[in-house]
Amino acid sequence: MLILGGIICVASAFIGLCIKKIYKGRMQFCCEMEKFIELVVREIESSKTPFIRIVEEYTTLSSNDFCNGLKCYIDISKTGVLSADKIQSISWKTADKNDENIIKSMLVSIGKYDSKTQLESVRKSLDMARKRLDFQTKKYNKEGVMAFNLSVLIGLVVLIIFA
Amino acid sequence: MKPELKKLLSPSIYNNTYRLGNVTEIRIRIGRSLVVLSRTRRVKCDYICSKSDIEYVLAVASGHSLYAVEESIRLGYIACEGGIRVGLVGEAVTNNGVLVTLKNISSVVIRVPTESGHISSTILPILNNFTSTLIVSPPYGGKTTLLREMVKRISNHDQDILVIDERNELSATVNGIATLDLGDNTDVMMGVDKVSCYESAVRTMSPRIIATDEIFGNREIDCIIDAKRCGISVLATVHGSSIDSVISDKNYARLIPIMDNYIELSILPKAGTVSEVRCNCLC
Repeated sequence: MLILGGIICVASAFIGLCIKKIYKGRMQFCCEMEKFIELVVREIESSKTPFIRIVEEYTTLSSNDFCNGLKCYIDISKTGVLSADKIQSISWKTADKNDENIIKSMLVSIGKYDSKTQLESVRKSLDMARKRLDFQTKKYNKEGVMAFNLSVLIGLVVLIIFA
Repeated sequence: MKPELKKLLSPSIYNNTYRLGNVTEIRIRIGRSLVVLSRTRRVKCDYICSKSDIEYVLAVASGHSLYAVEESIRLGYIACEGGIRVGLVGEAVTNNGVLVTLKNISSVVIRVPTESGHISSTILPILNNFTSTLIVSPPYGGKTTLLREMVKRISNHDQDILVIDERNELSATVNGIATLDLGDNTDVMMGVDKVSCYESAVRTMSPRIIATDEIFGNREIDCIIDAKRCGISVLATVHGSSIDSVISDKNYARLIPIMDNYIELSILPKAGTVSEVRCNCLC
């Protein structure tokens, strides 16, 4: 019975850890997205760097889920015109759909306008990215951490009961 | 076909052009037949170009970033890898009467540069002891190709040359790197009008020779005369049917006394044919 209780305790803690990881993944995605879009604004503002070059340089510095999605963008760009359909096919494992839509809509619109219009558009994406980062951070700190703590507690209670 | 050129073409355009060897120019006009030029012939294809063909060229040529090339779009071209130039026409967007950019691009012309590597023996005496030289050529005469080759050879003779490459035709600079060889001792000022360049770069770079394409207008002639007075030799080109037509043209009257040598090009039998050289240098 004690062993069974121990297994349930560990399993419960593991489930809590997984839930926490999901929230953390979303928060980290938003963090990367915000950092990237901020870089895009700076690069366009200061030196009108071509977007592909910004993406290539950014993805060589990091290796995570967000960068892997951007690498898909580079692969698509090599085939010719970047249609909205092709960009919509990019997916990120750790991202919330609403967060994914922000970066996707930016990728669809990037490179189609003059610098002034492009900057306005990217800055709007940056504002949205910052709001979502704020939202996901709060969710992680509240729900993610709480889910882990609760699952550990439940596991311990079960262990005590079985003991 | 050069890989840099292939990259620019939509699959439909590529399928209609890859069989034609030595492509030097491709003209894409919305709703019109595709036209392809090689060194020896002009071919009008059955394929009718569409807006998506032009969008494809623009997307690839700009690196999917129109904002990055907006300045050159305003000047009517995009410089690409391999020295390829994409000329554009469309609807002008103005602000207080000043051209800001182009939109609704209706035609593009993709020009593939030729780096000949060869120079007529009649020009060699000028290169060996270079003094101010004017290249006279009709359109498509090969003056830019010759100018580029002469710059490279003079530069490789340890002469510091400043190239004023207003429309990025000579150096084909992409992301700060010249994709066409202009020699070991060449400095390139790209994307700036000649007059502004004379005022700044000539003073800061201390060239022995200035090279520039398509002299036009009194202000540019004034700058050349000024440079010559400072002891700088000039290598330049002008549009003209013959040396005599330029000499007798009152617009170039002030330029003639400072030029020591003249090279006349012809498009027959083919572009780049040197039809006459007048050399006043010590050769």
